[in-house]
Amino acid sequence: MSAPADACALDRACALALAELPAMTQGRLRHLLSRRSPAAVWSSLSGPPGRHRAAPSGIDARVLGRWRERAASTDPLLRREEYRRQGVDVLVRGASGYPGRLAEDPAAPEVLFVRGDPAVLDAPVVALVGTRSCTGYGAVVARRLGRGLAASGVVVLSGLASGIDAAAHRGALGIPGAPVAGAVPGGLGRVYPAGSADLWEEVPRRGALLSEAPLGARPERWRFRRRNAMVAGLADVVVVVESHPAGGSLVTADLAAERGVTVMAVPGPVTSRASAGTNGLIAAGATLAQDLDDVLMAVGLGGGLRRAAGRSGPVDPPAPAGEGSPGGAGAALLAAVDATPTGLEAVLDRTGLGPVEAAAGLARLVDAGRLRAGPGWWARPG
Amino acid sequence: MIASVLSAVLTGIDGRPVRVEVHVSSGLPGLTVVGLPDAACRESRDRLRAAFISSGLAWPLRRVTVNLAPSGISKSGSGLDLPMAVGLLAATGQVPAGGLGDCGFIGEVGLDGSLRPVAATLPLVAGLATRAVVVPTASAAEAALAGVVVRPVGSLTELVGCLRGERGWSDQRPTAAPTPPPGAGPDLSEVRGQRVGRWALEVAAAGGHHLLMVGPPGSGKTMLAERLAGVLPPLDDAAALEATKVHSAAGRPAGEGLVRRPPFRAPHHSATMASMLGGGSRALRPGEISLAHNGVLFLDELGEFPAAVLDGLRQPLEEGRITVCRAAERVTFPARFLLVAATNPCPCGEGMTPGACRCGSWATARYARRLSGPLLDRFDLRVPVDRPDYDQLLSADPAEPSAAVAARVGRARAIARQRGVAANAGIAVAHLDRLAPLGPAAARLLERQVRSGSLTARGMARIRRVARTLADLAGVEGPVEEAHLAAALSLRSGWESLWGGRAD
Repeated sequence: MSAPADACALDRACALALAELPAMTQGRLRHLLSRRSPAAVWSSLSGPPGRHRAAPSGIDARVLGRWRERAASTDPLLRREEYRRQGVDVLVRGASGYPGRLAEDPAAPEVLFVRGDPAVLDAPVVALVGTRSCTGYGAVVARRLGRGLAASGVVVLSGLASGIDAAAHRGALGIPGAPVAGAVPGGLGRVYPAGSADLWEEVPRRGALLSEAPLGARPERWRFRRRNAMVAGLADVVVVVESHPAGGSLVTADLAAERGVTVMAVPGPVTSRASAGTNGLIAAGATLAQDLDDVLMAVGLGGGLRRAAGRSGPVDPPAPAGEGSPGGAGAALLAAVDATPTGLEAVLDRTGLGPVEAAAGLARLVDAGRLRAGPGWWARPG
Repeated sequence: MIASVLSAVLTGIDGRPVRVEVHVSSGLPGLTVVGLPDAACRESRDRLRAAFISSGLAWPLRRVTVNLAPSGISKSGSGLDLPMAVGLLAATGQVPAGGLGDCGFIGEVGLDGSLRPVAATLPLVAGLATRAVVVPTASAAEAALAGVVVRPVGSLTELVGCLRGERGWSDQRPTAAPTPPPGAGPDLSEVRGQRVGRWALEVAAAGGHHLLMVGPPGSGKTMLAERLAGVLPPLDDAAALEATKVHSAAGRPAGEGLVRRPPFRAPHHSATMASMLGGGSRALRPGEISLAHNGVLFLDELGEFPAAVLDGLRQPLEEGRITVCRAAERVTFPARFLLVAATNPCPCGEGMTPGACRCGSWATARYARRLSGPLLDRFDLRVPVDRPDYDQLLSADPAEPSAAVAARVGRARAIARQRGVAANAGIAVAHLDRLAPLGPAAARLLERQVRSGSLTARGMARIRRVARTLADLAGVEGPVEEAHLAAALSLRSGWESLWGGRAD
């Protein structure tokens, strides 16, 4: 091993190398690091057997054998250099740089990987989470809340999944300079999902992207729950925007409730399965999140003043007038299309127009930016 | 003694003339067939010997060699029984050899000397370049479709009588093929509600535009698709002959005359590559896409078809034919069909209603892999088909019958024919400006769509063709108006977000 620069740097490098060992779990990591520093644990593994330093106790012999094998051929400082090249820093619980709120969490990862600046998490943090298969309504609400929170100086935290997560972040990133944070299940060197590649770039630039998985780890199923726990541990408030009855964001809500973090839920239509989970949360006692003010209140950032002056309201702002004219049927068509997606068949029923007229009118309204077209449906834009 | 008789074998859907040469000489008694015969051809020897003896004809106890020329191509099937029998009879002097030259022979011979029909009689007869053709009585109707003089014969004994001039041929002159009465198939009047689906069906039929129907299970996608063939115009003579040849080559006897009604093929999604595209281990047979030639190919549950089969559809969709290659031979089958597909938006079927889908992202991704990209791009019309509500199901109002829709489709197709294409879907990109010009407002709308990035170049051409069809259906003769272009946009837009786009 090359000459150690300082004890802290060596500890970080060894913690990183420990996290990368095969079959390493957060439980084992916690067990190993409960009494000794990362550097001490590492040297007990990498040194020749029979040295005066005792091997870690309570670890399966076979696993220990594999660790020794790997440790013998690994230089932690070189690994740390590799991470650094990829812009990833390593944080150890209890050492400097580790997010304060998370450090006290019972399930906090011992070793945390970060891209960007974790110090942004010292500001108020609101987690916006929800289903991947969201509705247009959910995406609109998530984007607006993200934007509004970012504009109010709140750090928007989310999981970078497609759907609600991505919409929330895209909304927040629309406010220039506002910091954001993300927590992902897999390694930071593995963009997932592919549709969030832009967020994967932009979030660290504007704040911090965190993961407890080593650089190249696959986003396996069990890691999602760990990620959700991290989100719950980092947030001041968790807002579930849309969730299916057994959705993963309900897990986040449960984990947050266990930690005493305020859980809020955005209500939705009773006909939408994507809102069944959130409506259920409200019934179970979660705080109602109807608009930005509700969330800002929960974080303790005013909102009360504006609230007293009258609810800013979930009502859609009037759509900007487009340059294209929707034609005579335009008004009737606009009236026939809801904020939730409306199919052509329903539009025909409501307007009494023929299919050609209706289809043409809808395309004109889309062209003018007054409607949004989905697969076989149309809806008011957010 | 040597004799030579004309016949034909099947290559793809076309008959290829074959000369059957029979040589009889002294030597050890026996019969050898050369010229790449398959098992059925080689077995002719045993059938013929029994047939000769049962018919009271002399079986030559000499050395007989039968050559099937050209000897380089492989011959298959039992249709060469009859020419071999005639050759043997002529070579052994039992019938006069003169006068065989202008007549072809196709048919299988039974052990009792009777003549039996063979598969693919129509293409075989059409491939023979002779004035007259002798076929088994049962094949006469099909052979007559080829437009040659048909000489039906019931047995070897009868044939020998005719060849010796002891009795006359019962020649059948080619007759005009009868046109079958219109529409006994399912009728559109039975479909309740579904205004969008019916409209899309009409546009698809009028313009030959490929149609994708997306909707939850039980919404009536299959019911609609089954009624598409009924609103297409009947096939003209050339198209009907081509379609009939394909069906005949596939082993479906064309006894009821030409295929006048556009065929409707609905293969199940368990269909193999060879059964869909054509092929087979022994002889290359046309597949479902060729059987749907000049008609409709309906793929229900599109997302369940193997990805390889769906990929294989792309070339025929573009070129209207498919070339099946094997080590020994390559055959081109016609395959110009109107593709109609139905699919659930995702495995659980609820994915189109935002927020209702119960599928995991993996299951949806599997659908997206099959449905997105190049294949999806080829559907000019993509329409949602919702479950009709109870009011519509219970409504007593009769819906518009197929005949009324077919009349409008026929008018639109007639307009397309004046442009020199069978349907608007066939307008080449280079001719769009000449054949389907846009009005100024329509041109501006299209330009905005392209600039906003919501339309690709290929998509633009497809939208223009659909818009032209909508204008034709509306009886607009001048340039395509903005209303038609806008409606065409609505018939296609928004789907990329379901398969292969971001959920956001």
